[in-house]
Amino acid sequence: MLTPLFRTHVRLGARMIEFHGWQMPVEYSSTIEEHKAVRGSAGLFDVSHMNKLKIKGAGALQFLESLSTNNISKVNINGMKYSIVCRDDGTIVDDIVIVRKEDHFFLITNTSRKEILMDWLDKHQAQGVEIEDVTSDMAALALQGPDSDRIMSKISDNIDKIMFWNGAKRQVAGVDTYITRSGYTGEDGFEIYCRSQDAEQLWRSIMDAGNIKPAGLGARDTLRLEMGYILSGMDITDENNPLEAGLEWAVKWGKDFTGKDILLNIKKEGVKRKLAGIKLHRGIPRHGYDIVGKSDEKIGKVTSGNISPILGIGIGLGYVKPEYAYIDTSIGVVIRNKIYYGNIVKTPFVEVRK
Amino acid sequence: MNAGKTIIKDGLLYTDEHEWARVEDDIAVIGITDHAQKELRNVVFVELPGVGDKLTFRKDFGYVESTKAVNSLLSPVSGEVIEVNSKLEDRPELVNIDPYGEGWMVKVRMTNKDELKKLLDAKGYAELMEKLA
Repeated sequence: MLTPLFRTHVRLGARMIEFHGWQMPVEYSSTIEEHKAVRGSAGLFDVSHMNKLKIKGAGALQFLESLSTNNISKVNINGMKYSIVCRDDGTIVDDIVIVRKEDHFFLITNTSRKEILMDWLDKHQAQGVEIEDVTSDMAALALQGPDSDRIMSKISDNIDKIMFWNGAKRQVAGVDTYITRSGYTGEDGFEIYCRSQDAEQLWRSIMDAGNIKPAGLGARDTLRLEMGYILSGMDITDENNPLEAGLEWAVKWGKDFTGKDILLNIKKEGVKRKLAGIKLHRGIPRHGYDIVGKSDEKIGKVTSGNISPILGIGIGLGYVKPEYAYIDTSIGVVIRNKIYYGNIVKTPFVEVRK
Repeated sequence: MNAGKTIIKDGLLYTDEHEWARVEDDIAVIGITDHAQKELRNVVFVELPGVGDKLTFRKDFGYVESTKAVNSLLSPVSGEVIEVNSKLEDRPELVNIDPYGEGWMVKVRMTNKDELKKLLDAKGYAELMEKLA
C-alpha cells in the first residue's frame, strides 16, 4: 500500500522499504542526521501507515472502557489516552491511543498488529457499536522537535492553546486538519491528520515553514528507543503482559477490563520477567539476542536495540529475570557468540528538554 | 557523510560484494567500497578479526553494522591477519567518511595469490556498478 505522500518521498530521494504492507521511507539522508535534527530542531514524519479507526454509536464508550486497561470515561473531548488492550489471560493484544472526539472515538493503533487487534475488536463488538477503518481516507504527519511549536504557529492559529496530549481542529495553510500535541520521540511536537488529497499540500506547507528535515522510520525507531518507549510487536507481543512490560501506569485497578483478574493475580505473585533498559560499553544489542548475567548465565532476551545517536553507544530494551532488573546490574549481551558487557540502566536513556 | 557520485579507485581489486583489496607484494589491505558505505549510510559498529586469525577467500571475516542491519564482510583473499584498523572501534564512521583510506579494515599476508585473478579490476567493478544502477 502507498501513503498519500509516496511520490513526495520518492522525489526527496528516500530509501523506501516495505513495512507491514506499506511502502515507507526508512531514511532520506541518514538515520543519525534525521535523529539529531529531531532532537535539535525539527523533523517531519509521514505516519499515514498507522492504523486509524473511528468507534461510534451509543455503546462506544462502554465498549472501549471494557477493553482498555486505562480509564477512558475520564477523557475530556479532544483529550487523549494511551491504553493497553488485554486478553482474558492478561496477555497483550496491542497498545492503542484513543482520542475522544465530539461524536466518536478516534483510535490510532499499530500497523504491525492490525489484524490481531481488528479480530479482537470484531469478536467483542457489542450492540450499538460501529467500527470504521479510516486508515486510507486520512494522512497523518508528525512534526517533532523543539522547534515544532514555533513552526506550526507560523502556519496556523492558536497552536499554543493545544496542550500536551490534547487535540484541536485547525486550518494549516488552508488545509483542514486535526492536530494533537503528541508523538513518539520524547520531544515536543504534533501529530497532524488531514484528508488524503490534502497531504502533499500540508507536507509542503510545513516543510516551507522552517528548518525541517524529513525523517524516516529509521529515526522514528531510534528516537523512541532512546526514550525507552516500547514498540508493540517487538517489546510487547502475544506472550507479554503489561506488568512485566512496565506499563502498570496505564492499568487502572479501580475499573473493570478484560484480563483484570489474571493481572491482579500476577501483581500479587510477582512477574516472571521485567522489561529493562540496557546499555553496552561496546557493541549493539539487537532484537532476539540473549542477555546474560555476571557468570554468563542466561537471564533474558533483547527485544529492541540499536545505536543511540545521541550517546554514540549501543542501547536496548529486553526482558530479564526480576532479580536482575535493577539499575547498574552488570549484564552482557551475546552478539555472534561473543559476550559484550554493559549495565541495566534507567530509561529514558537520554534527557530531553521539556 | 560522503554523498554524491560513487567513487571507484584505480589500482584496487574488488569483489562483487563490494569489498576492495589494495595489493602490494604478498600483503593485501582490505576494506569496503564507497558504494557499500553509501548503501549502509550510517556505519555504527565494525567487528573485525584479530591479528593472527586466518581469512578464507570469499568467506566472512567480520561484520559491519548500520542503524538498519548487520552485514557480513566477505574476504577477497585468503591469508593471515597481520594488522587491524583499531581506529574503527571508536570511530566506525571512518568507513563512511573515507572508505578507501582511513576506513580500511584489515591487513592480510596472502597465502594464495592466484585468488586475485578472480577479483575485478576498477574497470570490471565499474561495469558491475553500471549493471546494478
